[in-house]
Amino acid sequence: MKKFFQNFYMAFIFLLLYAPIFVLMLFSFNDSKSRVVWHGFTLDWYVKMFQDSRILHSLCVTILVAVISAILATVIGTAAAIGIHQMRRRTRTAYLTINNIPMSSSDTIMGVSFMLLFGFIALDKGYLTLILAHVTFCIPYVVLNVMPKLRQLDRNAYEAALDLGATPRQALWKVIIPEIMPGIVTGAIMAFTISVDDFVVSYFTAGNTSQPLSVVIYSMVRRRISPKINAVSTVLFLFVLVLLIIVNLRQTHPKSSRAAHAFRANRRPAGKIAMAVVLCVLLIGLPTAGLLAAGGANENTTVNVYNWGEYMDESLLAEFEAQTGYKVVYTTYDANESMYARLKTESYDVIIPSDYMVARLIDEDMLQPLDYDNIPNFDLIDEKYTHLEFDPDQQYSVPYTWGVVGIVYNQKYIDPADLGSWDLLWNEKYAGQVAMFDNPRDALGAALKFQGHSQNTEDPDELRAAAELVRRGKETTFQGLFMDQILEKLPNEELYAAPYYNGDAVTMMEENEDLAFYVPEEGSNLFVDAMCIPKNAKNVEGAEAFINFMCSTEAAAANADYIGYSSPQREVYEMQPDEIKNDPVHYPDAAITEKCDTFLNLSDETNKLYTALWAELLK
Amino acid sequence: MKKYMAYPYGVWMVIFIICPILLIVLYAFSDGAGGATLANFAGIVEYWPIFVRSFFLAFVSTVICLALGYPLAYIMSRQPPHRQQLYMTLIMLPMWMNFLLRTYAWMSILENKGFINQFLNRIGFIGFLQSAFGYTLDYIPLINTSGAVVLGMVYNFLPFMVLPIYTVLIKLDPKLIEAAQDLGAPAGIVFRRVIFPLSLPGVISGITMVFVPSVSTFVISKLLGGGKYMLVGDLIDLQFMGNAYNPALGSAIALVMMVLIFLCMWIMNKFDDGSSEEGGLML
Repeated sequence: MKKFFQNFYMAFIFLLLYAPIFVLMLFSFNDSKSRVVWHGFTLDWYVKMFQDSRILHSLCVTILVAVISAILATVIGTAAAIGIHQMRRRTRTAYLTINNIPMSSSDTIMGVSFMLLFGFIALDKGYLTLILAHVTFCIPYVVLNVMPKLRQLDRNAYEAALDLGATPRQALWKVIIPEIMPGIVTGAIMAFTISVDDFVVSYFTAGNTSQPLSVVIYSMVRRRISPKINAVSTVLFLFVLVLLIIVNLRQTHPKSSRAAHAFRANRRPAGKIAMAVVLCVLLIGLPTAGLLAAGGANENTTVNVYNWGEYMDESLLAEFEAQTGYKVVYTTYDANESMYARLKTESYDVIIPSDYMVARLIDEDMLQPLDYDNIPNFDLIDEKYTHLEFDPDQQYSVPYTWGVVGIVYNQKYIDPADLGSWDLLWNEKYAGQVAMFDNPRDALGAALKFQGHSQNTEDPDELRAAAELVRRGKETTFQGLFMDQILEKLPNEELYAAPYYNGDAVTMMEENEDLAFYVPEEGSNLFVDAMCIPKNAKNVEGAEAFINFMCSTEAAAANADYIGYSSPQREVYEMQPDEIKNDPVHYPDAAITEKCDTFLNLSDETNKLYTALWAELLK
Repeated sequence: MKKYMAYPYGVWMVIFIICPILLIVLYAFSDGAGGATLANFAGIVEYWPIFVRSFFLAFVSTVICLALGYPLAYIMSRQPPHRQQLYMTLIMLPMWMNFLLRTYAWMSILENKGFINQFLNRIGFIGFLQSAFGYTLDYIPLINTSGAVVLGMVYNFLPFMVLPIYTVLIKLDPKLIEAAQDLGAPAGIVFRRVIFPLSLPGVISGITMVFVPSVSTFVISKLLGGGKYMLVGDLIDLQFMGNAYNPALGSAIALVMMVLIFLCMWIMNKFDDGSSEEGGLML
């Protein structure tokens, strides 16, 4: 009975531990992007995974960083453990206490502190910062695995070796190291494991050209994970599983421990060391070769593009690379403000902020004036979208898309009588089934419009009232606050209505035909997103070439078609079939755009108030 | 065998462990223009509810981890050696699937149209609720709740509770238990008076290793909590990499959190008799 209960309990825990893993693996074979509905078996995602250079690149980075960090940590940590073992009690305690800090302080704090350190000594984020950080949090695990073995060590063995004429160095290598080897190996394996699994520290210390797999996954997690990632993880998981089985079989093979000891002592260590060296060379060499083949991080040939998530036909990147010979590093963000924060500590060549953020960046002298001689395709842009309020002299920006914010809703669940106003998001009939934007400007903007105020108001009372309205929604009707996740939750019918941008509405409506879109009668936000070159860009020529390429009619048309957003180019608009030209979702007409206004850059004080109100709201 | 072998690591620790922490302190007291200020700490007062929520959720997760993890470690330590090895591997293995992905997979399981709700619908449980209790939804809300966040924490950090306790339990001298039994103690007493007190170092390091990451996580709450309520980790992320961009305030928050965590650990360690220098931190 007791036995049965124990087994039952173990089964329950392992079910809990393995259910998500099973789900992930299963859906790497799903013949659809869905992660809840099974559509049949396919190996497509495994094929596609090998064609996705960004995933492969990050996989190489992950393995390379883990191997180098584990090796460095093992060497430094083992030496340190031997040294610490010899110290007097007080120094030893001091060493071990500091050694414990990385393990017992949170990884968020560690990541942040590394970020401050590297910022302070002006070390650009990249492979070096990533490896330094990883080594630092790996060493303690090595030390803590080697120390107990040292304590078990018979002191006399070392002295005997010396008495028998060995030099201290020989005694160390021939007596001590072999004795503590199991601890070193365990420590090295743990260091490797922890480095591979780490996300938080890498998130704060990786540069945009050295993103490990976990950071790439994070940028996807916030909207939709491609099943390609499931495929990569499944392969990695099975690889480790096989490795562990082999190691376990080797360990358990010699039955008694005495026999194992004799067995180990009789074997020549040279073979083992040679094997380890070969393994290390392979593990470092293969990913390095992979990275080199993908093109090194040469500043003159890479163009660093930082864009909104799901906001570009990424196959155009390959086309651009083929045409110009530049190599594109492409990363994404999900809010103007987080792009702004990143830009403070990192360099990008092309960014695509929205109107008000362009104005703010101009104000703060973070953009460089464009040389239109190098961007001849700029002339293709419709004059309606140039010289707008955010860049009156059209010195800094090239319009990329424009659009309006509205509400995307599911006709199956929403009563037509409830449509038309922002009120839908606060309608208690749909409590728990609607959502709100997860960024202050868009969320408070919607609330301001609903209350009949300007979205650019600087009146603290109006802003407070708007924040109060959002808070009420949060407590009554909103299921959550989301950005890119809306792209998945609406078509999956996890949400019945949510505010979003018209271009993405088009994409979602293609995925689920019950979805529809309207712009609330109180008015809404009209936005223009534009390509800019930041002051700290390293490859201005490449950036200009990229912007020019994106403005070419072919690329702009392909892009507009792919992302569903309205293009600011006259020719691209003309090329569209009539049903798109006249469709108010694709190209909102004047009756709609008249009700909408564009976000302007706000005063410092108001910006601060936004931040404070937002933090207050999420308390 | 010389002391100097530890010196390189000593230098390393100063540069990469001590200096970064000092920098957090420095930034926490800076006003961004080279002057010193306490304003950042005054700003924190407003965020107090976020601290309270984070520590509360982390506390709940730690208690659940202990309640689930101790019996698991105990059962494991009573198995024959080869099975122990197997169970150890099985517990470590999930860590090889990226933790973001594992958490993401819970979304598929917990969503309104996810696997659990699909299952409950299929067996007619939700229909039963609707007809018997007038339940109006056709799903049970699981995702985007505090419960989902706690589940995410327990799921991700449970191995950190099990391993240290297990390590201590297998090192336990069986003679002590036999002695207690010989002296006539029933099983319950043997556990309460002998086994549990001796395993305390493991329990304490397990609690540390679960509580600390839980209190500072910023991914789990975003994925499973629906972004409606922030945790301290989210707040710090917001200051360094997000909307707010204010490293000085972020450092102040990190510093306060560090001090609070340290206090919690200090109180915890009062329960330990302090006899073991290495504690149970060893895995």
